[in-house]
Amino acid sequence: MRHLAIAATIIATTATAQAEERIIDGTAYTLDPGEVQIGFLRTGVGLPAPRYLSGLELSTYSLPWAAFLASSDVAGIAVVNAQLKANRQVAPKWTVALTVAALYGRISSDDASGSLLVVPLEAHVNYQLHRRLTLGALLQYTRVSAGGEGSGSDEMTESDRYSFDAALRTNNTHAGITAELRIAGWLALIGEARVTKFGRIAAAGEGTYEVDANTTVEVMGEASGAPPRWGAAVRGVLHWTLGPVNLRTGVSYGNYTMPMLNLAVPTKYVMPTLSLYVRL
Amino acid sequence: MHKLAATAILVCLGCNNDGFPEPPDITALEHAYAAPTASVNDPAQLGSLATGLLAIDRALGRGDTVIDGSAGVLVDPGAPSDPAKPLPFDLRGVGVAQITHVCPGWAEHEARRADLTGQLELSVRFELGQLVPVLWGIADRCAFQIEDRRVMVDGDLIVAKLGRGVLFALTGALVADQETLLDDELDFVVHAGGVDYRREIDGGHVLITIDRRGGVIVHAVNGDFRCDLDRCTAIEPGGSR
Repeated sequence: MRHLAIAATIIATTATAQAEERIIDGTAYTLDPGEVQIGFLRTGVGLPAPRYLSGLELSTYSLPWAAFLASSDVAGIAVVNAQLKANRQVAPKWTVALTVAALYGRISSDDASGSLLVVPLEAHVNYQLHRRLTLGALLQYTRVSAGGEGSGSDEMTESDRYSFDAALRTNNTHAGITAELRIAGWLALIGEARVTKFGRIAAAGEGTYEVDANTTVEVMGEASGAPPRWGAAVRGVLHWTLGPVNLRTGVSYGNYTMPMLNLAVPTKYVMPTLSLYVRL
Repeated sequence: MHKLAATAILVCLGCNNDGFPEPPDITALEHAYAAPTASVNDPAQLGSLATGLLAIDRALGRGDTVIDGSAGVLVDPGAPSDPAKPLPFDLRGVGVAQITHVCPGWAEHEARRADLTGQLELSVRFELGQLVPVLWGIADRCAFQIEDRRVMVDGDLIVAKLGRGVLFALTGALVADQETLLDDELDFVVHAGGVDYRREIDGGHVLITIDRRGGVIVHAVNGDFRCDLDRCTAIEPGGSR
């Protein structure tokens, strides 16, 4: 019983210490200089900000690096990504932020190679309406391009040769509002609603196939398509803070937006949210 | 990095002109093969006209070779999409396939090479994954053999689905056993019953069918006429065309 009381005291003390901590994911706030966040989804560090900025943060999505390291014995795979977020407190309760990011991945083999480039741009604004209530808005534009090329011979009939070259491009635009209610120092309730304008998916390619020694077919084409023009999603998240450990649990409904790619899925469905990180 | 071609195509997305070649307009030929526009006043004259066509018909293997060889894809280019069924995406797509085929040549040709035996360069356009059933391009001194006849085609070619048959249109030369059978324009439709040829006469055109057994029927506005090499006789109304 005595141990439980001590543990409860420690938790309460720690949680109180985190009460003033700003949640940075999906907001206009950044890590303090020297502060580090290490998570399964994202890892970042606060940088010294220039005089005209309030905060500067460099981060990266962790999963691509994990995949990169896990596949280090497979030649030809490379994934790099980085995000730079800068914010400025423009008024006592108002903070704005701009985030630029890039993710580049490439996979290649003897016969073929492919690449992916994702470039999201985000703008956030947050207003602290009350000590326990912060409102926010976001605007996000993401451009995704991918491509591949290859050539080779048909193993069955060695004389048949083919080559191809293809590219794909799309984009998404999101606009959303958020509300963060600080229930206690160690618990916040976050509500979010966003609308998505789907961009067209455009693809183009060309290929050559040697049918036999006397016949060659060369195909060139392009296609573009778009899902229903608009999507929407709502999400509720409980953000738990226990000392340096932060846990986000929640559920969303609507057009789910994939992390990193920032692309929304055209179909609406229920999706759980789970995120864990340490902030030091 | 990926070739610039694919990227360049992407840049052009949304352009009114998609940048891919369009097949030639065959509307006039479609109308021409729908019905004759001229009447026949001198059936004997038509008999001699059919005589020239018979030589061409024999040179081309009575249509069997061309329809079996290059136009099979056009006969059934895939089931047409159901216009009543909406697509889940607002989808647009277009492209072109270009086929280059080195012609087989004649028996005396030592090798099958484009510079010796000629070649076919044909294009076909597709939209939303469906072929537009018109092949077009050129026959560049394309030499091939039908039975023991040495045939050479040189000129612009159109191969298109037309009704239940396949339309062939050649602007250029057709040579069989060193005899020039054609040095102008020729079009015909190969179908299950034989081959239909179009012939201009005073007042319009008639359609001449050479059936699989070599029989000749001339279709005119004023009736159908069965011909042999000497004369044509009118077919009684109700006779098969």
